[in-house]
Formats: sequence, C-alpha cells, structure tokens
Amino acid sequence: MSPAHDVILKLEDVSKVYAGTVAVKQANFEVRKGAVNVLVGENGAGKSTLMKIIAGVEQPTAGRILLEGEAVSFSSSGDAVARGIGMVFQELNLFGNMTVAENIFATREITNRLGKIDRKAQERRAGEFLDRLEAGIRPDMLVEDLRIGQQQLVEIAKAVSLDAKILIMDEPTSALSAAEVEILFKVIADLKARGVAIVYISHRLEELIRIGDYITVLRDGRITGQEEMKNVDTQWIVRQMIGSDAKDFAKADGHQPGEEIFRAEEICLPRVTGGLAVDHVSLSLRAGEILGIYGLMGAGRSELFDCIMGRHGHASGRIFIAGKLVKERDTTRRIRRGLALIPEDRQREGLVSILSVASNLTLASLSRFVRLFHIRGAAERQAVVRMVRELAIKVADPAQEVSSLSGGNQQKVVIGKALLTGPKVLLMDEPSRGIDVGAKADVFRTMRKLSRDGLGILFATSDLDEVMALSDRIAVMSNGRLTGMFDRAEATEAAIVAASALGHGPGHLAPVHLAPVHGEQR
Amino acid sequence: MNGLATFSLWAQKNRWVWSAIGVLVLWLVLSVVTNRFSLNSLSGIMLSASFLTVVGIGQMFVVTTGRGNIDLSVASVITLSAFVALLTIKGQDANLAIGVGAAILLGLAVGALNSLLVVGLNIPAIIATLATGYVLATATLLSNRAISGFAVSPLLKTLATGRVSGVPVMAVIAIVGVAATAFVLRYTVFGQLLSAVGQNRAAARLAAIRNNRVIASAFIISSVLASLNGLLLGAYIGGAFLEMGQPYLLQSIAAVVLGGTLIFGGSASAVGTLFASILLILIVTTMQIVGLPPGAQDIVQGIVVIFVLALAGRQVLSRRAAVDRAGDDGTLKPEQNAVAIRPE
Repeated sequence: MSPAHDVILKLEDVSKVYAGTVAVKQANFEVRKGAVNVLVGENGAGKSTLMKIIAGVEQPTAGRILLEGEAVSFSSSGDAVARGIGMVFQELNLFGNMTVAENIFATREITNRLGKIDRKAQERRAGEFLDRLEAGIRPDMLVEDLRIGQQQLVEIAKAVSLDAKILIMDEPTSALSAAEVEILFKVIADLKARGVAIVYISHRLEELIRIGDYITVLRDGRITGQEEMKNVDTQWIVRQMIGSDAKDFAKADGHQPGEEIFRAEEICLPRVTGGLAVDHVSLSLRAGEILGIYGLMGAGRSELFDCIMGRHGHASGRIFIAGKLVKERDTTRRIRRGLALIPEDRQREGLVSILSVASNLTLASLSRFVRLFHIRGAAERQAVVRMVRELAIKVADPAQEVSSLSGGNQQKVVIGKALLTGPKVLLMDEPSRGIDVGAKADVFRTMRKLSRDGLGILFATSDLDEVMALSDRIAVMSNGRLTGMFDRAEATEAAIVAASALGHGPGHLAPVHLAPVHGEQR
Repeated sequence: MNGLATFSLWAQKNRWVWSAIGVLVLWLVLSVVTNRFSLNSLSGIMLSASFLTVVGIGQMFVVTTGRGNIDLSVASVITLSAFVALLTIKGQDANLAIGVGAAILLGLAVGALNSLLVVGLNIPAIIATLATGYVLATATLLSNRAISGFAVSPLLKTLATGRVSGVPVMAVIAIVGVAATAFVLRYTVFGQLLSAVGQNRAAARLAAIRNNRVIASAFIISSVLASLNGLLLGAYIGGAFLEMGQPYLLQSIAAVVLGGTLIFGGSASAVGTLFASILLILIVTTMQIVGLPPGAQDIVQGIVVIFVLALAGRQVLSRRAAVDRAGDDGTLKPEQNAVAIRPE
C-alpha cells in the first residue's frame, strides 16, 4: 500500500465473539487520514460490528486498537467521541420532537454559567453545518417534519459537527436522493481536504468506487482483501466479497407473460396535511410479468403497495385480480384473494424475530395446516422443508430463531412466508434493501423463477440498475403520481431518472446533476 | 393560512393550551349558571389543584421517560408521608425540620426503590410501582396504629391553608414549582436528556446519554414530590387517614395526559399539568354542585382520561402518517396529469 496517507487508527488482530458466534475474526484494519476508507462485505460479514468496536459501542473480545500509535480502549461511545471518533449510524438516531439544532447538540448542549441552554447559539452553529449541506434545512425545524432523506442529512451534520478526526459512515446514502448524494460527496471531499479520516460503508458498489481511496473487504468476519481503490474494479470487489465472480442479476429467460392477473385503477391515498400521497395511480400486471416501480424515497411506492394490500382504510380506488373486482377492504381477506406483500422493513413488518424460521414461514398460512383445532405438525414441517429447499435458505435447523440468520436469508424467509399463502400477485417493496451482493443475486433469481411459474410480481426499488435489469416493464413514480411507464426495450436510464424527478422542487433534482451518478455504467 | 389553521398548528406544539381553554370555558359556564360561583371559590379550587399539581409534576417526569413508565406508588407515598409527618412533627414547629427531612428521606427511599426495580431489574414500571405501593400501604397500616393523636405544626398549617391577600400560599408554591419545572424542561441539559431518553432510547444510548440515570432521577423526583405533597396535605386536612392519597393516583395521571404531556414519553408540559389539575378540580367541583355522588365523580374522571388518551393516540397516529408523507407540500409543483415521459 502506498504511504500517501498516514495511518491514524489501526486495529490489530481484533476479534469479537457473541454468545457462541464469532462476528469478527482477527481483523487487521487500517484507517488513513485525509482519505475515504471503504469497508464492504456481505450482511453479517462483520462490518457493523467492526465499526461499533471503533466507535466504542461494542468492546472487542481480543486484539488491540491503536489510535495515533497509542493503544486505547473505549468503554462507551462517549469515550470514542471524546477521542475524536464520530459515527453516522445506519439507523436514524434522531429525536423527532426536538429541533434540528437540539438534535445536533444533544448531550453537548451549549449552556451559560447557570446551566441554561443557549438556543440562539446552538441554532447559529447548527446553521453553519446545515448550510454546507445545502438541503434547505433550517435549524429550528422539528426533525419529525423533515423527509427521511433530510433526516439522514441531519444525522450527517450531527456527526460532522463533532469535529471528529475519524468519521464513520454506515450506509449514509441509503435514504438519500441522487442530488442529496452529490451534496454528501461534496461534504466528504471537504472533510478529506481537512485531513479527516472517513470510514465509509455501503452496498452501492459504484458509489464506493467513485469516492473511495482505500478499500477493505470483509467476508464471514475475516478481512479478505485490502487495496487501494485505484487498483480495483467491481469484479474484484465482488470476488473478494463472495469468493467468486457472481452475476449481479439473473438473466431474463425470455418467457412470455400471460393474461392480465392484476389491475389497479385510480388508487388515491390522501395525506393528513392535504394533498395525495398516492395520486390516481392506475396500472396493470400480467401473469408471469415483473413490473418494476422506480422512484426516489417518498415517491409513494410503499404507500401504493399499502393501498393495494388494504392497509389504509381511507384509500380509494379499485383493484382487480384476474379481472374480478376485489371488494374486500382489509389485509387479511386480500391476502386470501391472492395478494402478498414483502414489506420494506423486514425486521419490523416482515418477521417475528423471536420465533423460529419455521414458525415465521408458516405464520401467514397457518389456517392451511389446521385440522379442527390443532396444527398438523407433519404438514407444516413438510411445507417448511419445501420452502427452505426451494428458496435455498441457509439454515441448519428450521427451529433456529430467525434473527440468527443473515439479512439475505431473513429476506428469503419473508418471501417464503408470502409464497406459502399461495399468492397470485407478489408485491415486493425494496426486496434487496440492506442485503449483500450474493444474497441479492439469490433473491433476484428467486424472483425470476417465481415469474416463470406464473406469478405476477410488482417490485418497488430506488436502485436504477436493479429496475433496469429485472423488470419486464418499468413504472416510474414521483410525488405520488405515476410519471412514466416503459417497456424494457425502450427504457433508458436518462428517461427514467427524468420521470422520477417530475414534480419535485425547482433545481432540486435537475437531471443534469444526476447524470454522473448513473452515467458511468460498466 | 387563516387564523384557525395557524392556531391549530400552534396548538399542536403547545398542547397545554387545551387544558387552559378547558379551565376558562368551564369557569365561565359555572359563573353564568350558578351565581354563587365567584373569584373566592376559584381560590379554593386553586388550593385543591395545587396539591394535585405537585403530584402531577412528579408523575409527569416519570411518564416523560417513555416506554410506558408510570408511578403508581404516589398514592401510598402520599398517605405514608402524611403519617410519618404526624409521627415526627407531633404538632411542634420545633420538629418541623425533622419532619420535612423524614418526608424527603421517605421520597428518596421509595424513588430509589422504584428506580432499582425498573432500571436495575428491568421490571415494567406499571408492576414495580404498583407493588411498591402495596408494600407502603402495609407500612401505613403499621404507622396508623402508632398514631396517638392528630396535631399539626402551626407553620406547616400556614403553608398548607394560609392565604396572602386571598391567594393561597400553597398555590404560590405550586406555581413557583411549575415555573421552575418548565425552566428545567426547556432550558437545561437535564430537560433535554429527559426528552431525548423518552423519545428514542436507543438513539439516546448511542448519543452517550446515561439513560438509566435519567430514568432513575425521574422516579426519585416523583416520589419526593409525592412525599412532600403528603406532608402538606396532612397539614391541610389536619391529620392523616388511610387511603387519603388514593384519589391522587388516577388524578395525577389524568393531570399529566390532560395537560398535553405525551403518554408515550419524550414531551412534557409543566404548565399543562398545572392547568389540567385546575380543570380536573373544576370538573369535580361541578359534579359536586350538580350533586353527583363521589362514585359518579370517579366515573367521569376515568372517562375524561380515556377520552383524552384516545384523542392523543389519534393525534400521534396522524402525525406519524404526516411524517411518512412524501415531500414537502410547500415545494410541490402539481402536474396537470400523470404525463408519461417517453425516451427520445
């Protein structure tokens, strides 16, 4: 490795063992000053654990941490912050009822001698950081009134305001629009210039290649590759991550979609604050077809799915399954009619984490295994075994708790649960969110296979590559409206991005701005 | 934006205003309907409300820590404290310091016990504090036997029942306490931490807040305030009797939620608790004027709490939905139709 940048933090043979499982095995990791140190790996590879060790949230079981050549040990995140290590956590950690400034200064409030908080000073200082983010966020706004993307920027501003020497960012772009990503990258460049060491975790490979200086790949808790970014390409990263060159996306198999299986007409969902979160959306889907719905965060994709599933009582519009009007308005009976949803938030809406893999799989379809009052164990077990095999869920014993599985395998359990209800139409909301490259490919293959078996699939995503590669047709949503519908053959990235930016604020998402992000395709 | 919309937006952030409006409306109605209702009776209501406010403020601290934290031991603390005060002060001003010390000590001890159970042993607060309350009730029974006679120290009596140019001393104490609490909540680090812990405990932990300390101090504040209230209440009624704290259990919770403090935690309003206490006492008074039996009064109070919580729950839901919404309406530029953009 080139000595262009000095090492500021060094992990030596660091291991972390949780009750029986080894999350990190003898990792040697170097963080360099004034550079973006990228960390990639599959979910469950140990990235987050490694970062939590650096940020003081977790303590290593073995090994040493050297900060500027001096051995340190942090017993809490406060210790790490005191030594100049800040972290932007993957989950949003903001207090909704507080203003942006109060959030940024939480636990380090600016007070006068009497202990009275100086709000003016806090808002002024917060304003300085926010101005750099150019996101139109005022320091006196309540956090709960901000869009998710803006909240993420606040989280970033909070970390930047720490004046950290080392800043860890765990998937900072997962909720950002393309324009906001550009802003973040500018901030990162600025921090780099000031000598801050940045540790950057992301699943978006193009992003990593674009902004990274050094890359470290983790697999199963081990570091499998460490290189300068200029020497590597996507193929190399994927190889290090999953041990072989994997095709990102399952290829289309050329099967022809059948009859129309699902149609939505004039779906509307009012917002509490006035206006429509889903605005007169109509679309149809054929059996065996994959219809991708592309849109930025907050475009109304998830809300559309929720409407279709009957999760909002005050939604209007009609849906048809196989040409027949669905009169049922509640989720339970819509599932019986052949709709199934793979929710975006796996942990909260997709799984019961304390139940076993088997129980989770059959949770939505238990009535099929019931005779009189009891569940027929044999039939249930059989169904579980079939699903585990068909979806290639990596689990030693289906009786294992579902939370012990990796993200990709958990997602397969959610899919399996939906499939066991015998759906005709599968709605998948960000099916690849937060899962690694290998598991993604697996999930995509599964989607292909299901569509070949005649299932109609609607999937929502904010990943352009994904929607381009997987869909038979592409629908684009923006601000609750359907702003575009493309056949695979005629779809171009530029057109899709343009459609996804319709109806947003002026200059906020100019397509010109977006071009570089997705322009450098392989 | 018209005036009503502006007000409703403002009221959403200043929820105490509803209880203040309630007080105003009910007082006006009572003044018009009954001609014997006067400023003088208002000062009587203030006096009763002051005792409730003191307990309510304590309860508010606990509720604000979130996760369903609640202090059900306040009623027993009040009763026991009144007995302890009687036993230690024995009607002598000379013993007052010992009595106050004993009451504070009792509050500290119960608060520490509650904190140990809730924070240390992770027992849900609703069960832990209920159990503590039962244990204290037994202690009260024992001290009831030890009571020889009722006598109240004159100074304490002045504090609890006296008036300065018509204004009850107790009301002044309550209002000063509320002002101090409001300052603490709004302008001190402790207030911020309390709010942070109540809103998002995981985030608070990652922000290096010592959650446990914050939660424990809330329980201790609640018990100490309840204990001081018992001391003053005993002086007010000139003695102590079993179950004397009982009405304060539901009423303190009612005062908290009615005052606009979020039952889910994270957002408290001291002023709201004060107004809500006055409103609750007004409601009780109204029912007495109407001639409803005490049982019916409890029913009405229970209904008020349920009603307010149902309303608050709806508000939280609608607020969540509003947050989940897509963009900012202000910058939204509606298209006339859903135009399909075709590639060139």
